[in-house]
Amino acid sequence: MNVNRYRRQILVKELNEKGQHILSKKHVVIIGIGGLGSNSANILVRTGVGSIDIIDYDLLDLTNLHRMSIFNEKDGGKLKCKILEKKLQRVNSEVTVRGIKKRITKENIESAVRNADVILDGTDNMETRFLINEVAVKNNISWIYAGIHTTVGMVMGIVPKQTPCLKCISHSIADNKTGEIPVLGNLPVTIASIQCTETLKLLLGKQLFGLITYDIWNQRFEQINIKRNPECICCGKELFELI
Amino acid sequence: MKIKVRLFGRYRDITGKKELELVVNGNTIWHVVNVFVKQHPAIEKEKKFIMVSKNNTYTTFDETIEEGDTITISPPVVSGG
Repeated sequence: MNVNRYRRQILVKELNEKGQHILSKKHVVIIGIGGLGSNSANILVRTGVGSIDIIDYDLLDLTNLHRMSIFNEKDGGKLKCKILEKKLQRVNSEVTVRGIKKRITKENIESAVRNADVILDGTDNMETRFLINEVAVKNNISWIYAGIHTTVGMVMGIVPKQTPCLKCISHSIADNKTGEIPVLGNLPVTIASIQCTETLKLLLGKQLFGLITYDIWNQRFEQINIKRNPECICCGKELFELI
Repeated sequence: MKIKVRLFGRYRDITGKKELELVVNGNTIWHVVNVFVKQHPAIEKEKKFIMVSKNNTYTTFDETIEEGDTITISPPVVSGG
């Protein structure tokens, strides 16, 4: 690892040189390349996380560009995972970036995340998030939920058996399957940044916050403590309904 | 009984307040939510997904409450990506 490359970052006491070395040996899997996943991949590659898998099956289109800062008009019509791999590998050749064309299902998710130290949620639907939650709890892999809507984003780090899982708060999750979700273009990079900070803390073995909510329009930052639900069918009773 | 309620997110915009006091006939958080939604019918359709906490810890609607508890009411978890 070229330590000099990260000189300014290593000066941050929360990370320091030891932390940078730890990051260089970690593996992160990002599921979904939307506003959150693309920006998170960009941040983590520049931060120096050792290897990153980015999983998505979709093509880039013009409506993506307002919230995905790493792509441009020439990328239109191409596979997001493959363009992102190429661009990010140019950003940091010390990091191994793999763009994987795959639609995550209950059949393939376990193999996709097998060696992950942390899974990052870059999806745009709760169905896949609950799938990630189950496989993460079952295989004891930490993961970071993030969601966005209009000007509001939420982030919650989940450490199986230590912090609440997504199922613990499922009664606050609407079964939202209504068309396009409105999002202000500069929101995802901000929420991805918070998501990546929580990821770095996880990778370095630090304590996480509970459920973080940020409203970028009203500049409101809120945090709610959450306790595990001992009756949770996922992390409490380990009954896995989806996998 | 009177319950102190702290509001998060856009519920502050709807009410124009960070905090309010609600008079509740009942001893669960569900009763608090019902009073709040009755005063703000625009959020009726998301009522069952409203996020609640008691004394700064996330909880469920059936949690019992007593005078002196602080309840927070927040909009539901968001799902876009």
